[in-house]
Amino acid sequence: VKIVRNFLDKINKKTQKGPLKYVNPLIEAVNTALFDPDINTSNAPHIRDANNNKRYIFSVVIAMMPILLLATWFYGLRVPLMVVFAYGVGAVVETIFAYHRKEAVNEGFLVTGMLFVLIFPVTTPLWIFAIAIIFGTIFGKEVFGGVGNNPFNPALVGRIFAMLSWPAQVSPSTYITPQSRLFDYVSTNADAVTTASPLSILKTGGANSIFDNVPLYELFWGPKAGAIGEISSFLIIIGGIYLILIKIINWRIPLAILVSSGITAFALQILNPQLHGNPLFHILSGGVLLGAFFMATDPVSSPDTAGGKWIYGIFIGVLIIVIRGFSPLLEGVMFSILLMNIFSPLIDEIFRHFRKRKERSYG
Amino acid sequence: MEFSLKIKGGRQFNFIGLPPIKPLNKIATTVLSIQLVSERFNFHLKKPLKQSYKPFEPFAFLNNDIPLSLPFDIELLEHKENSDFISFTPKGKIQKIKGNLSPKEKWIKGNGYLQVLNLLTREGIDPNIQPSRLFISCFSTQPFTVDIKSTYKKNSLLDGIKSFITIFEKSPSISILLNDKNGQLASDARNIAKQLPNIKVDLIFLENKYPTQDGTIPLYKGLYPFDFDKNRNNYWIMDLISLDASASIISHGIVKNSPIVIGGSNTTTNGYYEVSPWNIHTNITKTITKNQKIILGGLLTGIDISNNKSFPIRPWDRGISIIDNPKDREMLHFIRPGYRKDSFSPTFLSWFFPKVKKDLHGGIRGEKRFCISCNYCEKICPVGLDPQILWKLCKTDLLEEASELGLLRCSDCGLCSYVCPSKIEISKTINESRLKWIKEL
Repeated sequence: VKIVRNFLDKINKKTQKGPLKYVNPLIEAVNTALFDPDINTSNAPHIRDANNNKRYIFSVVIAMMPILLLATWFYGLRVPLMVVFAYGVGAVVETIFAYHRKEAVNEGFLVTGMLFVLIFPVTTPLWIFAIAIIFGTIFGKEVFGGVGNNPFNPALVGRIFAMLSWPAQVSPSTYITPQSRLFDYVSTNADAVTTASPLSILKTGGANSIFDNVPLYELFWGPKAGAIGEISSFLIIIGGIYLILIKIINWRIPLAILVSSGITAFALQILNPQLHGNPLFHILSGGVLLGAFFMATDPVSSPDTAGGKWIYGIFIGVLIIVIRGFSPLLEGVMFSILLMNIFSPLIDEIFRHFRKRKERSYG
Repeated sequence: MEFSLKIKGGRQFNFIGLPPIKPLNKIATTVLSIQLVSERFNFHLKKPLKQSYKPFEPFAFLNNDIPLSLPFDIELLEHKENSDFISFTPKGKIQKIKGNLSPKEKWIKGNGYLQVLNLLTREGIDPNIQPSRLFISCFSTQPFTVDIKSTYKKNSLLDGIKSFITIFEKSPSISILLNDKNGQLASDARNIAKQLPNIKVDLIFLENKYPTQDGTIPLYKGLYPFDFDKNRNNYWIMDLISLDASASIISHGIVKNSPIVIGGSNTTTNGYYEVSPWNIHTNITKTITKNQKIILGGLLTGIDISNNKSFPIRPWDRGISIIDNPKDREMLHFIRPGYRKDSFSPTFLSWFFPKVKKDLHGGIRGEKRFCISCNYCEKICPVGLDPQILWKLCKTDLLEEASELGLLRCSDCGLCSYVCPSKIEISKTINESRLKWIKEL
């Protein structure tokens, strides 16, 4: 550790002046991201920075890394390429808007860009991917005033835009079978065998076909067909628990989503056991875990009050199962999260109304 | 014999061995306290002085009407009527009294290092009070212990008692309140009792109870960094318990006149400590290591005085903060929640745009940053407000709605802007608009 630190310090000092001046910020970013900054304050605001936006962003990125690595193992070299591509396109859009608004570029896109990769299938053509990123970033975030003011999760806006515009290229029918192909490059679904995702098996074959084709332990342990991020339930749960433990995301929203979707699925199963799957199947298949831990917990677009978080999570969970059960769509996570994003200010307003009443009682 | 004391919020203290007590308000006027501080000190009186009192006359302290608590080497600088505080600053030369001294002069001279305050009303001591019993609170609370022997070497508790006794013609008997029978404090107190043979010294042992571990004692919302809440609560609960114990003794006729409580404590751990003005901080921070940093005032506005050992605590400073200041750089520090080191770092992408508009209270480099609604401020707010929404309302000048959400209850502690990951000066905005709203009212 000491060697790395000294090396970074040396480079940092050397590049502060001279022709390499423009590379210095990147080096310092790596330096301060890995270690504490070495400068101590002697004047007024003491100890401001141990809690930084950086802490948010890097922690979420760290939680998502194992999922991406596993996806690279099963889907090939296209996954890291998509990450680089998403960051490139996103950085251009962010920079244009930041320059236009004369404000600093925010690091928030490091998370959003990675989320974009997680929710698209590997076989997405890059031009669709680029358009989705541009659309999602502009109309999900920048139009409303940038990071901190966006009512929607930009990644979900882009994903839904792509899914409604080019269903043939990004719909669940293009999901390919995950198999170990570390150094392969799969660009279209002609290169590989497509399979049905667990949810489409449920939709076409009914509840009985699940028991034959998709055992529960495989949904939890094994790789499953789907978007890049849906590859492993286990790693998503590990990443989510890590984020909850270091207090980056709030535990209320994931818990509310998982519990309420489980209860709704159980109720539907009692009503019609032929059509609807069992609760655990619903939770483990598709994007419920990814949505619960990484999408719905976005601090900007979710409610602030603790009670609001519960209600937000419960409604998302119910909507997921309702959309899955009663609509032609296979997956309901994206729509339900986006729908509840719209309502989150309203939910907050209701809880603030109670707070006002309480304040009045203070006199 | 067991009894309990109920306080606001429905919680109660339980005492063993002492009879039940009357409501606090009735006793409050008679209970006085003395807190041990250092030899240089200053006074603040909450009550305006009498009009007949002329502080600028040199013989002022010979007059019988002056308050006992006024130290002789201090010049009165400003005196506002109906104001809460009268501030003093020390004169350059210290006037010394020669010749035979009256008891009152002895008191003034000998107790230069004692701060005399009524704990509840925060008023100065009445000169005409002749106590028959002296209460000394030597409570051991975690993480503090009251060090009565070694910390104040020159002005130990024994010296304090001796000089106190010389004031009065009839010496009062002494009660030392302790909560640990077997600890170091108890043996120190027994030694003190042996060294005062002519005076009756009682050791009163109360229930061994630590506020931080006891569920029956109300605490603030426990989210202060550095365990701030523990230390703060220890302080006022220590005061409260000893006050109530002594009050209960008076209320049952054991002592008829007002008692006086002497207390003091020694600090070693990180936290925020209330200290009296003109104290030199090294008196308090003797045991602090090199890896700790001493900040005069709060974390957001204070001055670093670790290297300046003779820096006095000024009248407008409420106390000192002590934090860790390790010299090693920690790997992946942002992963570990908590606040260990003072530091700053730039937001790296903004380096590429040197000409963008800078906000003075934005990031460290002046970049404007957004509120990401992380809700850290609401979690840490000790008064239970939602600083995030208050800040947004104050920025858009919706002060009426902000006041409905408790704008006036803000205690201006600054913890919201302290925890903010976007480094927004929340408390500053809220404070400004709060003053604006008060003016409008």
